[in-house]
Amino acid sequence: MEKNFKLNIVTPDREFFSGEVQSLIINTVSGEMGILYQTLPLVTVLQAGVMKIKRNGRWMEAANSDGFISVFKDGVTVLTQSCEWPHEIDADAIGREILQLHERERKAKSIYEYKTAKARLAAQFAKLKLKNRND
Amino acid sequence: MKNISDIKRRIKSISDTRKITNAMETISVVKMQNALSRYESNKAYFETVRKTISNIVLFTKSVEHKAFSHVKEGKEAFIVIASDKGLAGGFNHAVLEFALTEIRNAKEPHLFAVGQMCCEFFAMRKLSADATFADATYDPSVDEAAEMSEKLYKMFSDGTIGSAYIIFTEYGEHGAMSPQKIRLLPFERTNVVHENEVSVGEEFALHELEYEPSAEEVLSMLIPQYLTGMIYGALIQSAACEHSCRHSAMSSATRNATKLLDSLKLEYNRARQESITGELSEIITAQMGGYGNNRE
Repeated sequence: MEKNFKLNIVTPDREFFSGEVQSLIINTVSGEMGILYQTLPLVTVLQAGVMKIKRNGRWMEAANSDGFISVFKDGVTVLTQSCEWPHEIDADAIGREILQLHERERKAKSIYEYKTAKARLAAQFAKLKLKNRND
Repeated sequence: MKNISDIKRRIKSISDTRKITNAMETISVVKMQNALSRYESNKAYFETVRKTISNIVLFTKSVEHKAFSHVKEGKEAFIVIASDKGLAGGFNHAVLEFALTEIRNAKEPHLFAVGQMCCEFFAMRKLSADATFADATYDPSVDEAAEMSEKLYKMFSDGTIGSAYIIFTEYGEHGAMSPQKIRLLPFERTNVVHENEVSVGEEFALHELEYEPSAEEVLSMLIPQYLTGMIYGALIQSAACEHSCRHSAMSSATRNATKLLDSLKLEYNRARQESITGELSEIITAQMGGYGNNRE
C-alpha cells in the first residue's frame, strides 16, 4: 500500500495544487525523477515538461515550465513559473505563442534573452505535447 | 464682495476637476480590485518561496556558496519600487523618503529604480541609478521581474555588490501599508535559524539536504528564480498599495471638491441676489424719481 505525502504546487499567479498524493514524477535537468513517501530531503531544478501526479490511485498530468522542487520531511513543494491542466490548454494560443517566441529567439540581443525565449519555447512545447496526447 | 463672473469661473473649474477625480476614483476601484486579487493569488507563492529558501538555508551546511556567506564589507544594491504615476496621496513620498534614508546610510550604494516617479526622484537628488525600469510598476509582469533578478544576480556573482536589498511598500493586514526593506542576498543563516526557533546542530544532524545534480548547479539556477519570485511579489504588493492609495486620495479629493462647490454656490447665489437687489433698488429709485417728476 502506497503512503500519502503532502504536495504543494505554486505558481506566481495561483496555488495550482495542494493535497495528499501517492507519487509524483517530474522532469529534472538530469532526467525524470519519481518521488514517493519519505523520499530523502532534496532540492533539484525542474525542467519544462509534463509532470505526473498520482492521487487516490489515479494518474493526473500537468504541463509545467521551469522552476524548482524541494522535498522536505513535512512535504514536497514545487515552485514553477506556470503550470496547467490539460483542459486549460488552448492549442491555438500556443501556436501563436510559439511563433512569437521563435521570432524572439531569432532576434535575441543577449544570451539572457535567448535563454528565456528558449525556456519558454520548451514550456509551450510541453503543453502542446500534453494537449495532443489528451485529445 | 466677489464678482459674479469670477465665482462662476471658479465653479466651472472646480466642477471640471471634480469630474476628473471622480473618474479616476472609479477607475482606481477597478484597478485596485484587480491588483488585490493578483496579490491574493501571489501571496502563496511569495510566502512559499521565502519559506523554501529558508528551509534550504537551514538544512544546508556543507555547501559553500557565495549566497550563504556572511555580509562582507561590500557595496550594497537597492531595488526601490515606487509608482509610475503621481496623484496617489502619500504613496510615493513615503516609500521614496524611506529609501533615501536607507541609501544615504549605505556606503557606495547601487540603485535599481523601478517606476517613473522613483527614477525622477533620484535623478533630482543626483543619485545615479544602475538600471531604471520606468514603466514596470503599473501592470507588473514576471518578465520584468526576471530581467531585474538577472541583472542583480550577475552583479552579485561577479562581486560588484556584496549584498542586495529590496525596498517596497508592503501590503499588510486590513489594507495597512508601510515601506519595507527586505534583504534578498546573501541569505542570513543566523536570522533564518532564529526565525525557525531550532537549535542549529540538531537540525543539521536530522536532515542534510541532497542536491541533484550538484549543489552549485542547483543553487545557480535556483537563486535567480528565487529573486524573480521575490521581486515579482514585491512589485505586485506595491501595485496593490498604489491603487488603493490612489483610490483613497481621489475619493477624498472628490469629497473636498464637492464641499468647495457647495460653499461657492452659496456665495454665488448671495452675490447674484445682492446684485438683483441692487438693480431693483436702482429701478425703484429711478421710478420714484420719475413719479416725483410726473406729479409736478
